[in-house]
Amino acid sequence: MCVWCDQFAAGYERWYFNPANYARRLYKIRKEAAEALGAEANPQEAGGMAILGREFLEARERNDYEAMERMKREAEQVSWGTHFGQVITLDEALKVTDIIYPISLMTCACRRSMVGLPDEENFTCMGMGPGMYKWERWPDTYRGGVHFLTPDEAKEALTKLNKRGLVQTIATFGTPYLAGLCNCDYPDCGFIRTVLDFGVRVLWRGHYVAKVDPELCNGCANCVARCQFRALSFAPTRNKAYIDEFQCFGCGLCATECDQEAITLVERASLPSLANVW
Amino acid sequence: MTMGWKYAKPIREKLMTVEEPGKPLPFDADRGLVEEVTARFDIKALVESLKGKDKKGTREALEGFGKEVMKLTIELADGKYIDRTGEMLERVAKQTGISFPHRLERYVELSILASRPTDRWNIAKATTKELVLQVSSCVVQKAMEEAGLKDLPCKGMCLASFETAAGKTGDKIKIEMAKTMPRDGMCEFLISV
Repeated sequence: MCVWCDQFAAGYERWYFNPANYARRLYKIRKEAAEALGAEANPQEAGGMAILGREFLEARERNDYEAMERMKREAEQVSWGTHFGQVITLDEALKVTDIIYPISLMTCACRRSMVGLPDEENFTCMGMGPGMYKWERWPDTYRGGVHFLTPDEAKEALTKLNKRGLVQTIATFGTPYLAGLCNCDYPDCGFIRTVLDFGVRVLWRGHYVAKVDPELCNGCANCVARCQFRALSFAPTRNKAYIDEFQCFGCGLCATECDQEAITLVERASLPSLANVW
Repeated sequence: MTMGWKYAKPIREKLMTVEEPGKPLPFDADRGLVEEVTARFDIKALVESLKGKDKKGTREALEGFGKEVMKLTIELADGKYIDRTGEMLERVAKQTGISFPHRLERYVELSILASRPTDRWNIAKATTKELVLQVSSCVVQKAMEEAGLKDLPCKGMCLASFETAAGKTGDKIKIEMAKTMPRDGMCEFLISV
């Protein structure tokens, strides 16, 4: 079990199946003008798009490992309290759509800032929960606008995004409040880049690990390009897919692509060597 | 039937964009709503009026109070003190065809904020099937204790109020109470459709 389930599952199978982590009040009594204008609680600011600053890159440049470790620890502490993600499978994401409302399809702030994707090609992110009724408060975050989906429409969109090769992740905005259902890939996603390139755990592994059955794998290698975490490779001598389980985030993108059903997801907790690798 | 969404593209007929960039919008509950409702409905006076009443009379008084508070809240919240959260919530409900839980939750929250602004409460669950409201500190409960009134059916006030809101939203609700004050330290209302 991950630490977030320990703290916030409250009897549910996973912490992101606990409806309390999506529920919030709609209202508070209005204060002064600055608040009405949206000066507080900007989701993009909470998102910490630049959780590691220039200082970290400079420390890396001069091989100052002590400073890097310190900055990583600090960044992780900030992230875990305010905004971090965890990988979930498509099936889990579909289940989540039944316990959250409303669900909006919006532009992805990461793709906007990382690759400069124009709004009209960038409706790949989902915001959810009562905060979405106030989306106009932060026009920069919700640039391009939003549309609200029914749970069935959200399922359809998630399935399409998964098919396209995007990883579903669930994100907090003030832990444990969950308000982001992201659809991520490398190098677009700030979470994935930060964890893979800098080793800062702003994105937690999911509850599963993918395994290949070599008897069923026909060596087509279609799964390899699907992996966003550098966990999958092709072993030419064996003509089989190979998964580095310590690198696997358990998203299941490889499994949904495998025609041979050679890839299955195994509970992380059932594997002693991986049970505490998050 | 699918919605026909093309990958990463906006759905033109559903897309909402900022209507007037730069214009401040009032998302929170207006203080005027609180002031008008609290001026009209005095909890202490209500509790005083219960002294000497029999059970039936007490229940009727509490239920009547709850209904009237909600009626005024709805009138003001949808009129003089309309807020942007409420407007957006109605637009979203129209777009998705889903009313529950937030159309009801809006009136429930505003009526509590307006009539009992010092209460402590929380929304513990808000799905399209269930809404859970937890009230952990309640001015009505306190006033009754102070007045020496015990075992009064004050929950009738909340229940009548929420049912009045459901009458407005058209949600066919069922309300259960998993916890009640003072025994459980909080009142927990499970409202389902």
